[in-house]
Amino acid sequence: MLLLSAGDIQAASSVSINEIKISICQVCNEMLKTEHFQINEKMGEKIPNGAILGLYEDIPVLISNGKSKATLPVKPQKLPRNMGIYAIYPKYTLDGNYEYDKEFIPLQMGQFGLLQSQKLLNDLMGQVGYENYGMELMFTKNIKSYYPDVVLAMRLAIMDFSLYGDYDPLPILPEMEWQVKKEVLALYSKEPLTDLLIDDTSKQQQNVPVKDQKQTS
Amino acid sequence: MTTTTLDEISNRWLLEHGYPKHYYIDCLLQSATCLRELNFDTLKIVNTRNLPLDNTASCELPDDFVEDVLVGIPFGQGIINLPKQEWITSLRLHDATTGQFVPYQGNSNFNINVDLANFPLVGWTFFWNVNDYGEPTGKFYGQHGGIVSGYKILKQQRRIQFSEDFINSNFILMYIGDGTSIDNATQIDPQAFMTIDAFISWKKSPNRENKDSPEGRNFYNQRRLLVARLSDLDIDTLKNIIRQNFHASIKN
Repeated sequence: MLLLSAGDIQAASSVSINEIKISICQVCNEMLKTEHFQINEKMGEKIPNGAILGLYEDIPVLISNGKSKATLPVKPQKLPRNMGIYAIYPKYTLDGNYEYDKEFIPLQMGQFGLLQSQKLLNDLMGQVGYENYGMELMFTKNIKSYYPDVVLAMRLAIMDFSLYGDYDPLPILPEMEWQVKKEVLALYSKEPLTDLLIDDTSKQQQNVPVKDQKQTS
Repeated sequence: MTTTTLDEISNRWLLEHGYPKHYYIDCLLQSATCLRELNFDTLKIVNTRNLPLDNTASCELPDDFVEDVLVGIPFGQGIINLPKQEWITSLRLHDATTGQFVPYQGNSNFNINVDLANFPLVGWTFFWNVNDYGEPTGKFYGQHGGIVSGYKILKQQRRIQFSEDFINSNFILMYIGDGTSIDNATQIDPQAFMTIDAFISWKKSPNRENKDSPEGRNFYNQRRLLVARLSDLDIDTLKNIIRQNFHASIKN
């Protein structure tokens, strides 16, 4: 904001702090994805280490067509193998804990249908899998029939500004900070500076040259 | 660790190669494929079933049946092996009224009612005719050994058919499965761990269709190692096989 306002944030600035936060998240998501493809993939790294994962808890499980389904709280980054949806964990009972070391099995779209012809694997050897269609996750079993109070936790590869308060440290990599600032600044650099003449009758503005007067409220 | 599982092998592969869970299903699928192939000729996980025969001396084959190792009838603690009989027909008789399968009637031309306990030694009386010096005197001209009872695997009908003298009895079937039963998947010999691991690596590589690639050769080498590991032969067993095959014979 300081950079955009030429060093002095005006109260009537046309750009709000919330807009800037959204833009920072957008730039971060773009840069993280670029980094994954340009660095991780080229090095043979498959796990997107350093990615920012949002943790969403208490996601309800619904029943659809005899199977369980859930809705993604946000659409994550599109990474290879749908790794944007990094992990889905269950909490089977109301007073239980999330099973953070027992994630469900991610499947690609349509794979579970193909697996039905494979008699050894058509039950995923007793495990629960899921496929992602748009904003929905379709599970391979009806988890609710076994655990009526089941809820989910999801780790999604996205920097979601709603997860961070104004004073929370953002999980931006230090080497990315300068680049993020540059990108956001470029985005808003065409915004006109706000009119400096607001209330020249106030005492504070008296005897101050017009171009140096500041907003009072 | 007496056994391992496909799940364990797949997760280990992911860990070793730095892959996330999103590649798990690929590994699981490839390991199941490898297990199936190893079952045919290397692991030879032999399943044993005691199965009942119906009133037509027929029985459905198990779902994972690939090839029979032994078919026999229980005899005390042992099993009397039965021979394959190609003369047994795959055609079945129907009752015209009920539509039910009915048994074939016994054919008097066949010497079916033999003493199976003595199979395959039904020709042992050949050697009764010896003189005081232990020299064979011949006779029993035209006599032959063996029996005509037995079985035939009818894969196309997914059943096994016995000769009609076995109606409503039980039989022992030892067979090689295709590795797709849950028992097989949950009880894999840990000696096969690296072979299956090498197979996954090969199939995940760009050379997955090339058996002469380094990855393919690595798999076949691992399989050779597995065959050596699985071999039951040791010095004592070999000696015993040789000694058991010495027989006292008629002086001549």
